Amino acid sequence: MAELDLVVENLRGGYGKKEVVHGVSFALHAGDVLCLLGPNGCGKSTLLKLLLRFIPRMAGSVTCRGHNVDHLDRRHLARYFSYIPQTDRSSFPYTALEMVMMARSSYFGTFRTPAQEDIALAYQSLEKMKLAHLADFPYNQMSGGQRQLVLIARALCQSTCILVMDEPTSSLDFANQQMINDAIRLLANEGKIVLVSTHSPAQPFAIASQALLLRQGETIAFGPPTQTLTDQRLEEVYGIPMQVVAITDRNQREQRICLSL
Amino acid sequence: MKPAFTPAATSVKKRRWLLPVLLTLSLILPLISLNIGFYGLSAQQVWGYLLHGAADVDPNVPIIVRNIRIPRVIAAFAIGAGLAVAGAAFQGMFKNPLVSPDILGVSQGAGLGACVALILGWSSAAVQVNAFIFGICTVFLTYFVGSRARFGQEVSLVLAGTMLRELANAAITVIKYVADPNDVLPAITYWLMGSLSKVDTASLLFSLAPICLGTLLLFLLRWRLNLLTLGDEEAMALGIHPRRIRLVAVLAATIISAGAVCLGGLIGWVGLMIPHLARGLIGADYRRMLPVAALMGGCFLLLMDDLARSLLVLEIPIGVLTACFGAPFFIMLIIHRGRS
Repeated sequence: MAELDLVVENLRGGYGKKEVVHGVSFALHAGDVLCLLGPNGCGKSTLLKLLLRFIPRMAGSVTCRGHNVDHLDRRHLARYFSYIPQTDRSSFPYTALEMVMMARSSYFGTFRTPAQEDIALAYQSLEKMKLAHLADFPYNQMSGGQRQLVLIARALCQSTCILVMDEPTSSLDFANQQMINDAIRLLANEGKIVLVSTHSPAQPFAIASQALLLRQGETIAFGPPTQTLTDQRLEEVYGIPMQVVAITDRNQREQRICLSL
Repeated sequence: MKPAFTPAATSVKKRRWLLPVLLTLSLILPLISLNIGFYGLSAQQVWGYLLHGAADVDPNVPIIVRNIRIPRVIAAFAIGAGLAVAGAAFQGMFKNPLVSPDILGVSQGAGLGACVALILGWSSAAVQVNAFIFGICTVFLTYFVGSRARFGQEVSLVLAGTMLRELANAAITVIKYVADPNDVLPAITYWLMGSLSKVDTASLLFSLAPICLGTLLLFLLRWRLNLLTLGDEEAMALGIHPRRIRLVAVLAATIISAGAVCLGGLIGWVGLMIPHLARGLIGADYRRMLPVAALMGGCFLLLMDDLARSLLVLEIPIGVLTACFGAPFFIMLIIHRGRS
């Protein structure tokens, strides 16, 4: 195996004096997709916020491609981590291209504006998400799936090795969820590390190479989904009887789904 | 990725002609406006003076054109442009297109400063300076109070601004209550309604400096302003410091507003309406929206001032006129938004 590209050690933190995440560690390679799974309030979002340094850490270190990124300023941290929030409808009619172009902001000075090459990069990112035809359309009038794809394109345009997604599929219909899953696989194939928090216990089986099961800010299990997400552990975390079912679909592909019993 | 996209919206129009048209208008409109006023000057007299100097004719012509009309026209344009730019910046910073430049209390603070100076019987220059200082101080206070609160920064600032605005209003009411109803009270009322009738070269230059400086700063920050509309977390993830940018932008928008208010009094609606129109015409990107809003705001207020001077025998307070246009516009906006 190649050298580890993202190493998170003993990450602790929360809001004010209240610690929500109690020492989480994991390590990932390029091309890994990590799914964070756990019930509401288990610290998934907090963990992501700690990684992105939206909130201060109490302890822990993060190493990215051998560089310690704990003390980088925002501008340089933005070269390692990009963030894909849950979409909401902005009041301002920015076009998709403008939205994506904002990803280049850390690459030029405060008083500068995007150059021709930034525009080209933004356009390429949209193309990768098959959205080039919507480049001039207002983002706030797009459908939820399209908006999520624009935000993924923006993260791509930021040229980071790690993409952090906060529940990207939770507000989308089924077809759009699959579309986002496809996009995540595409990112992984390009060698990106993708961190995804999710409410769907079956989603890790579909997209993730690693899963991290959290409960009350503690790691319950970390590893490949098929090994970590067992009936017993899921029951323990969610507090209801559950079963993982492996089935073969009519295309002879093996899939896993989660049932509550 | 298979699902076919059905475009849900229409493409944002580029409207490349808009800026040149507005630029032309911004050159022509002031020249026309020089011909409008109480003192009956013919176009020949005005143009004769502008083109050939004070060689002949009525000795009043140079005085009126140079000392009254030119400063007034520049003031109207600068105030309109400044308020539009400040409003545009505040709307982005607070992620809310219905915000106006007095959100943090600059106008009411300046109003209070003017009232204090008027009741103390200070000169008109001192009234202007005091209004400017009070306006700036109110925003500083808002910022200080807001940064103590434990909400997100935007919410805290809006709450603190609302509080200080009401406080300033209360103080203004007290001053109006105790003011001499024969001379001071009308002066206060007139000031608060907003008017450009007292503009002269000195007061214009005093206000022009902060308006220009603030506008330049916001223009330099035009791309960063886009990122502020996303909210602090996204802006941070994109590699900028939203709080730092917001501080500079608040400062810039505040000195613009304070400069505008201390020159023309409380002129409402421009800072709310114009950025909205500009955004509708050219899109949200501040790189294009900011210049368009500035020129539209300048032309709009100049037009309003022309109307204020020429509609009736008595000059109409310009704040009343902008409200007559602004309020119906606002209602239209709400109805339209409700639909879409």
